[in-house]
This record gives sequence, C-alpha cells and structure tokens, in this order.
Amino acid sequence: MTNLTLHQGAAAIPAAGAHAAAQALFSDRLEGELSPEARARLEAHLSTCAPCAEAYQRFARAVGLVREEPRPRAPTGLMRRILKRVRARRRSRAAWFAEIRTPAEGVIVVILAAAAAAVLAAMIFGVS
Amino acid sequence: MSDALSTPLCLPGEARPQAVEGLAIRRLRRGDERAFEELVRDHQDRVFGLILRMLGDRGEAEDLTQEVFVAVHQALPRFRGESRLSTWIWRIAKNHALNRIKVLVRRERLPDAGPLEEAPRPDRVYDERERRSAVQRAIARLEPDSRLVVALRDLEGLSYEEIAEIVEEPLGTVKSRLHRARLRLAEMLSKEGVVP
Repeated sequence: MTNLTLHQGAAAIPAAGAHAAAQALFSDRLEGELSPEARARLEAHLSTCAPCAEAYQRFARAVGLVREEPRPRAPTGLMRRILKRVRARRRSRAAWFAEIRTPAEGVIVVILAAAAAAVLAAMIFGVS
Repeated sequence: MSDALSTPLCLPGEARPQAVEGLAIRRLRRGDERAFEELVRDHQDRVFGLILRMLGDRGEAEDLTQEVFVAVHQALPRFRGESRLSTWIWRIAKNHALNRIKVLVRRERLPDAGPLEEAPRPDRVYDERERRSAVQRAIARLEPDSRLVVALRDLEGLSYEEIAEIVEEPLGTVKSRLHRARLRLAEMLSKEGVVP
C-alpha cells in the first residue's frame, strides 16, 4: 500500500498518508519556505487532489483572516498609570532605605533578614 | 547633548543597529527616566495587544500590562543584553500572561470563548464585524501555548527565531506548534462557515 500513489500525477507523495503529508507542508508553502523539490511534489499532489487543494485554500484563507486582525491599541492613559506605579514603587523603596541612617542600622537589618531566612528554612525543611 | 535624548528606542520586532540598542540599554540601566518612558511608549500597544489576545479581557489585560512594565523596570539592572531588548520584554509579557491564565483557570474566571456554531451554514454571508468576531473566538479557543505562537507570528509578524527565543522552545517545536494551531483555526473557521 505504501508504494502506491494516491494519484498518478503525484508519484512523489505515497498514497498512505498522502493527504497528511501534503497537509504537513501547508505552513511552509504559505511562508515560502519549501525547497523547489518539495514545492513541486506538493503542487503535483494539490493539482490532482481536490480535497487537499480545498483544504489548502481554507488554511490560507484562515491564516489570512488572522493576519488581517486589527492590532489593539493600549487604552488611553495606560502609560501614565504605568509610570505612576513605577515611580510609587521607586519612592517606597527609597523611603525604606532612607530609614537606614547609620551603618549599624544597616547591619541590624541584614542580621534580622538572615535570622528571618533561617527561621523560614527551618520551618520548610523541618530542621530542629 | 547627552545620549538621553538622541537614542530612539524602537518597536518590538524592529531591527536596529547594535550600537543604538546598546546606548538605549545603558540609559535604561542607569535609571534614565526618560528612556523608560520611551520604552513604555514604544512597547505598550504591542504588549497590551499580546496580553489581550492571551487573556481575552481588556480589564485584565490593562492590569497585567502595568505589571509587565513594572517587572521590566525592576529587572532592567539585571538585563545583560544577551537577547534584543524587545525579545526580553516579549518574554516577560509571555511569562506574565501564561501565569495569569493559570490563576484565572484555577479561579474559573477566564472568559468563555463561546461555543462553535452547532449547525454550520456554508451559505451564510458574514459581514466584516461578524467575521472578525468569529476569528477572535477561534483564536481564543486555542490552547494558551498555541495562541501565543499564533499571536507572535501571524498577528505581530515576528520571525520564527525570535519567537523561539521568546517562548524558550526549539525552533522546530515553534514551527510545528504554529502549524497545528493554524490547522485548528482553519478547521474551526470552516465549521463556522467563515472560510467555506
């Protein structure tokens, strides 16, 4: 069976799986990425197989409709809201670090953070 | 004049000389506020568009777009320039969108794309608005990973190579996923009579 061809004119595409083999090349054909040989084989099949030729037309039309979809635009004021959030975050971080006035306070913060991490690790990994 | 005003940022998917990109990245990494504004202005439509396609809800998309740019701002000091800036932004947007979809699915809050027409009418004539609506429903019915590659390739027109970098998958996986998604779209649109 695998040695038979679906159509006399499409000798390069075996009958078994001929439609699937043709269908597998639809995207590459649409993108112009088929080698001349593969393109010739596919064209030979499509020229003698009406269901596959129709399937390719539907495929190309569907992709064409997707590509025609209008691009949504960001809502008015989105940029302003983004920048506001970024600035607010920057200010809150700056305020937090501003609380640390001396190197000693910085060391205390680091020790507290390390202690918190150790407690958390003990809780997660069950270290007694 | 400093390079702050003379280095235009450019659209995602748009190639620009490496030196220009390098200058823009340096401005951003040293916290140049104007450079970040330019980045948001240049990328907001496309990031919002991708997220809207992925989530299907404008409110959610707007909220998540804000989060994406906050994350971009936060991560800029760690950006090493191993990929193009736009590719890196797309990747952050992709991660946020896929994570948000998981959360929305868990909470059963993802918008329903609606059922396929049960009795397709091949003779039905679609007007422009109905056709667009059918195409959008079909895209929304794809699995998130498939929807993502369709959005990046067929809506945004990115190269396969850039998409592979964004989705962090091999090129072959991207191509086969896109092909299967297009076949599924053609099947759905055919059933609805949009592509008879």
